[in-house]
Amino acid sequence: MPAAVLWDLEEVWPSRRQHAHDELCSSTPPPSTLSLLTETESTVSSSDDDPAVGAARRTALNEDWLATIVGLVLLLLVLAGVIPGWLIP
Amino acid sequence: MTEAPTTRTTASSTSWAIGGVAVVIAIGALVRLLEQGLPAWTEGTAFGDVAAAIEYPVYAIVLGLIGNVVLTQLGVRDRLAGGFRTEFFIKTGLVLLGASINFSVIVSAAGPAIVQALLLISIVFGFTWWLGGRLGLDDRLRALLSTAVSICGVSAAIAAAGAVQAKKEQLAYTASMVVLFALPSIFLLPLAVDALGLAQPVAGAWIGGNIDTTAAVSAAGALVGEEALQIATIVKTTQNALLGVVAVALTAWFALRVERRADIGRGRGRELWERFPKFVLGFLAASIIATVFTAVVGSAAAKPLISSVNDLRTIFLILAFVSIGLEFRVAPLKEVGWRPVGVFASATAVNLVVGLGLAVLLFSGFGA
Repeated sequence: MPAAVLWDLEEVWPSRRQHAHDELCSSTPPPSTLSLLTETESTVSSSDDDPAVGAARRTALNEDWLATIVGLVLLLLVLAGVIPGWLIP
Repeated sequence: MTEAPTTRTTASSTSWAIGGVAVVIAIGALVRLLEQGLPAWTEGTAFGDVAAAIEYPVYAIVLGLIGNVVLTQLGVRDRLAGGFRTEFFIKTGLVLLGASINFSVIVSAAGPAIVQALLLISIVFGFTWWLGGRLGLDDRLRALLSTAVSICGVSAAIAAAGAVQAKKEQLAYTASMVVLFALPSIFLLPLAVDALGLAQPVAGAWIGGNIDTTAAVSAAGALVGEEALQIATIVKTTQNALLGVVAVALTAWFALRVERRADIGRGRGRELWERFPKFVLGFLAASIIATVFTAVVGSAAAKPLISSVNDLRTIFLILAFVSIGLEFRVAPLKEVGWRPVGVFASATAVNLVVGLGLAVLLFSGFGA
């Protein structure tokens, strides 16, 4: 769910995205030398615990449980005849 | 004093997300209408044969992409994106798919699926990690790319991002790359299956082991056939199940070797459970429930009910495929440069070749 993740992250941490964007736009090197990608500069951010990533992971886990419950409930309702076949398009 | 604006923002976000779900359902309804109606409407015309051959994933993804363009032009796509819940729709669809697979098939496919998953994940993860290192990528981005390409796309990237404490930009790049590579694979792999003349189980194992996102695996599997879809799902689900193990291993590796923390031994079992994809349990439970139900009421009585469950499954898969099209973004990739894309493309090529070899080796002669 890439866009959904991005959207969630945007909500959680809009200022950081803007900061990253500013960082990218103002840096002299070309995009291929982005600070996010290089070995040397990764040490700068090594202690940078990103809470937005944690939030995305929790959302994914919640959707995991929700999908499991919804799927099994629908299955049981169909097998029990509560949801008739003609109701499903 | 800041509570009122915060509440308003949350309410507004929820409203937009509900709007997003409504958009997905509306396009999904159109897909279902076209999939069921177009072959009948065009029967006897020049377009009739083509319409009969087009499966629902094609309509769903194409209409999703068109919707993406329209909503972007209207300037509302990003606000509605909270409702494009691909993961939820695909996982619900896969739980329901479990009901159409006899549990004995899962048991008999589990052995080769586990062997394939272990070998493929080890080889592809190792290659991607090595190549990323050779090209000077940051360790965290290497971990994200390696996990995404070797296990299960965006879900794996999210889990790995948590494990190695990656930045959200790195997660965004990886997620965009996964979708960029998965979309053409949905159509190219079934064509390659035809060209190579692969049997359905081998095709399913190849597709399940190769395409990164679970939703795209289902789409490609559905294009090849029901048996291919079932095997692809079992193989992909096995890979999904191994995600927890890889996430914990990455956590340990980064804590011990990169950050040199001493507290890593604690709570590893709980972490393993937290990162285990729970829908896998739902998939297995659905298969057991349907298998027992069929044994109790008899095949004739169970068949129409299982058929209704399959219709429900198709609806959720359609919603997932529509969401894939609506979610697709190229902007994060423009910022990233060629190296991560090159690493991902090379890893995908290795995955294709090794995956094909393993699928032929492990699934030739398999009868679902």
